[in-house]
Parts: sequence; structure tokens; C-alpha cells
Amino acid sequence: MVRDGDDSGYRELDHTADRRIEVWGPDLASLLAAASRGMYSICDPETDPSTRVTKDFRLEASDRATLLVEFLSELLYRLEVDSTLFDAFEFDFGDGVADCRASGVRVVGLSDEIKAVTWEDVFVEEEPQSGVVRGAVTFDI
Amino acid sequence: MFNIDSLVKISGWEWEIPVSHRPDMQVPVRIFATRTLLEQIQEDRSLEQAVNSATLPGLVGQVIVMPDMHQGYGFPIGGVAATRYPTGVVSPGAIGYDINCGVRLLASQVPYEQAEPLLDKLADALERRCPAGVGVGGKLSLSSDQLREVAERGARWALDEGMATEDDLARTEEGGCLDGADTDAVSQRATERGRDQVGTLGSGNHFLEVERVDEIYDSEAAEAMGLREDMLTIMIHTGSRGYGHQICTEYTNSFQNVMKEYGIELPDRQLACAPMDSPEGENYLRAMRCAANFAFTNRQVLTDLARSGFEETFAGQFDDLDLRQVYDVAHNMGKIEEHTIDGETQKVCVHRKGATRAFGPGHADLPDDYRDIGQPVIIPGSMGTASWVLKGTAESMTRTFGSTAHGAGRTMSRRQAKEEVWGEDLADTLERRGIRVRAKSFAGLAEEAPLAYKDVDGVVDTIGHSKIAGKVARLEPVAVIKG
Repeated sequence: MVRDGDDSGYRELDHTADRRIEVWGPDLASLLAAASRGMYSICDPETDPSTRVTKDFRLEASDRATLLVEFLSELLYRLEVDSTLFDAFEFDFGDGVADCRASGVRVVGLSDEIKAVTWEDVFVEEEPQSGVVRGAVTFDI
Repeated sequence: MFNIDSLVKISGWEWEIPVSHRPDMQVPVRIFATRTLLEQIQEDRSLEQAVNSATLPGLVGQVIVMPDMHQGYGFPIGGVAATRYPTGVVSPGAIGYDINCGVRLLASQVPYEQAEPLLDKLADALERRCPAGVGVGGKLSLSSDQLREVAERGARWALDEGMATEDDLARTEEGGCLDGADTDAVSQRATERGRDQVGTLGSGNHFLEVERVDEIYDSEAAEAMGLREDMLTIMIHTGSRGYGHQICTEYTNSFQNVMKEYGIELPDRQLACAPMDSPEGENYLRAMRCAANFAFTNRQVLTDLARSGFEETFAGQFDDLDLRQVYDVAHNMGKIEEHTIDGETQKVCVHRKGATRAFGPGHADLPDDYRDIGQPVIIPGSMGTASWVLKGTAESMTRTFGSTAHGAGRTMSRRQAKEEVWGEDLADTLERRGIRVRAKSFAGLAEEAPLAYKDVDGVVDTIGHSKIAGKVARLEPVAVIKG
């Protein structure tokens, strides 16, 4: 199942025990945003759009796949502890770090639980011809 | 897809992938499965994951995979690996995010036939008392000091709070508390996630189930465990919740860089590890033990809640309402144990991920009740199918580092299960078969449909033929409470 717009999105891949998504976008920031939507779609959250929340955080990562895992792990932690779903992101990428300003809404209910973002066959790579950034990540359910 | 014709056949239920299969393998992989189970197993990547796991530094003996094996992340579910202590590595991914996910069985002397008219009331009482579902907190909200006590003292904390008996602790793996837990190695984030989760089931494949003892296979062992034909039992399956997930997440993530410092290269980043005698490895072991103790306490508090629901339902109906603990055993754990390998007794870290400890008769770690018969092993079925009680054997000690399988094992993805099964239809089907269902989410129910799992009886038969555990009793579900 393909979701989102023409230039960025996610789709779920088969996995025996857990949940795996493929994600893509025209650049790294778009890919990360698409990955967040893919992860949230697994939890199927019910949100309260009346209040918006903004949060700044810094991620350290030696490569793009690490950044994908660290970014989603941060969102998962915020989902469980702060009951917040982020739906808009601004990134400032530096050398081995990414500063992120995330804004979103409160979550009032979830249908499914993700235990963790795993490293199993996680990758982020740029297609040489098209320049599209593509990746995949697996969640422990 | 892994070609099973390339496996070395040891017997009808035992196979090997030799070290010659791939140059980076440190030890062989030993698979306990029939050819039929192998044909299911080869549909996913679990055999490839077992080969990857065989590259961990410091492995001894063999990497072992059980008949319920299936693809996990990094390390296969149903896998067992032992690394030399303390120079070998510890791998958080080979233990799992849900540290000490495990199962507990309680036995009653209440007969099913006479209790049957009250089983709906019992299911309602258990659902009301035992919090289940995504993001559902428990009745306990612990202070940081209380959570530290839970993490460092395990189920003994529940004993002091009046939610356990000495007998419960004696009939729990490691007495419900792993020594060497140290909350200094646990982050504030893990503490925050765990604060209101002691005494909660969670979601996914976690459940509380009421069962009827369907058949006894070993009367001596069953008698020692308090299991009698037709009597009701209660099974609890859950783990360390967000507390354990956060600990495993943080250490697996930080070990990505730690491996580089120690010059370790592995084929899968999920297997990230550190030498046990390194500061990083020691810290992970301390934190992992905190999560293990959290999980023992979680199941103990749920036990207390289940007992009160049982007593409320059957008060005045039966003389004996005791729910005596049969055993509590971990599925995801890393433990320092002594095993005989190539004729030499060695101290090793046994990683069990989706595998159960199954110590044989005479082992010093077993309580007096079980010293002569072997450790009880609890194999949950797949909602709607039988569960099993087994016992550890002398063969499990010599062949599998005192381990056996942990359940039926998935064969179908959650997504496919939801496409093929309608949750409400499944609940109706189970109800018609006399299995009462209390579920927070019908989608979650569909994910755990019986057709998504292997035939648990086939898994148990393979275990029995392999002699890595012996049959004691078969249990049939009569009520299921799911998140």
C-alpha cells in the first residue's frame, strides 16, 4: 500500500513477527517525515488537534541509517511519555548531528503498540539517477 | 530463501548448519525441527539470522534454534547462544527489546465443569482488574525510589508489599530477582516509561488466559506442580514493558559505536554487542537485570490481581480458592550460567530470545519441589489452541544449554493476519468454541489469530522427540483477556 504524495511516502513490507516499512522522499528531511508517518500509521493514533505542541531536540548520528533509527526512537519515546504525535518538522543537518524542531498534537488513544525501532536491515540510500532518497526500517511489535 | 537441502541431517528432528557454510561463522548452528517445520521456517529469514548470530565473538558450543523459530530482528526468535564469560560479548539484540518477557502459570483445584456457569463472570473480573491494552497504565504509579526497589529487588518488593508469597518466589526463575541489578545503569527515560507500568499486561501477543487441564502425560510431575485433570489454571504472559524496551533501545543504539572501539564487525547491526568485561558490557548487564526484575515484579503484581478476581468470582462456591504458582519462566534473557561444553565446565552468558530455560532434574537452582523432576516449562499456544506444561531434562542440559522452545511461533505476518481474519468474527468463533474473549482491540485480536501461528502440538512433539523437554500436561483455553 503506497501512501502520501507523489514524491515522498511509505509502504509496509511483509515481516513474520514485526512490522517493516519502506520510505522515500526527494531528500533526507522528506524521508524522515515520511518515516514518521509510516511509524504512526502502525499505531493508528486518535489525536486531539485543538492544541499544538512544539519540541526541539538534537540527534547524534554517524550516518543516515543511524539518524533514521535515532529520529524514530525519539518520536516513539515522545509518543509514549508525552502522548505527542509530531506532524511537521524542520531539520538543520550538521556534521554528525541533526537539530530538529518538531510540532504536533496530543494523542488521546492508540490502537497498536510499537516496542522499539530496530536496526534490522535498516538502510538509507540515494538513487544515483533520480536522486530520490530511499530507506527501510523494522519495528518491534 | 535458505536451501534446507544444504543442511546436515542429524536425525528426523535435528539438523546442523556447519561452520563451513560461511567464513565468518564462529560455531555451527543446530536446529531442532522436523522437515515439515523446516519447510515453514525457510519461508522467512530466520535461518539466515541464525547464521549471522553464529558470528558473535566469544561463542561456545553451537547457536541453537528451536522448533518454534521464526524471523525476528537480528537474532531469530527461538534462538539460544552462549558466549564465554567474561571475555565473550553480550548482545542486547540477542535478548530482545522486551527483556524478560515471560510466562507464569497458576494452578487451582477448582473443577471446570462446576465453574463453567461462572466463567463469564471470571473473565469480566480479570479484565476489570488486570490492566491491558496500548498505553494503559496500572493502578500503581511508583516514585523513583519505589521503582529503584522494584528494579533491584524484583518480586521480593512485591512480597514486602503483600502481593506475593514466599512460595511464589521459590517457584519463579532466579527467585524473581537477578543479582547484580544496578539502576545507576538505567536512564531517566527508562524510569519515566516504567513508572506506571508495573501490573500491566500491555498489548501485542501478551495475554492473560484461563485454561482447563485437558490431559496429564506425567502424573508424578503434574502432582508436584499441583496440576490435576479438569481443574482451572491461569496463565500470564507479559514482560518489562516500556522500561525494558527503553533500556534495550539505548544500549543497542550506543553499542553501534562501542563495537567500533573494540574492533568488532558483524553482518547485522541489530546484533550490536560489547565484551562483557568492558565498562559498556558491564553496564548493559546491570541495566538488563533491572528490566528483568521489573518484569518478574510485573507478573507478580498481575498474579495478585488475578487472585483477587478469582476469589471474588468463586467466593462461597468452592472450599479451596488457592491459585498456587506452578512456575514463572523468562523467554528473553541473558544469564550467567555454568554449563559443560566439550567435557569442560564453563561459565557462559546464555542469551535466550524467544526460548525458555529448561533445567533438568538435580539442578541446584531448582526449588525442592522440582529438584527431582526438572524445571517446569510453560509453552503458551496461540489463542484458541492448547498450551503445554513441560519439564526440563538431562538432555536439555547437555544439548541446548538447558533451554527449550517458548511457544507456537508465528508463520504469518501481522499485516497478512489482519487481511485474512476479521477480529470480531474471530471472537465469535472462539466464543462458540467455549473460549470467552475480552479484547481491547479487535485488530489486535486478528493479528494474534491461531492461523498466524504454527501448530503448537507439532512444536511440542518435536521437543519431546528431541528430549530437550518432556510432556507433563496439556491445557485448553476457556477465557482469554487481551490488550
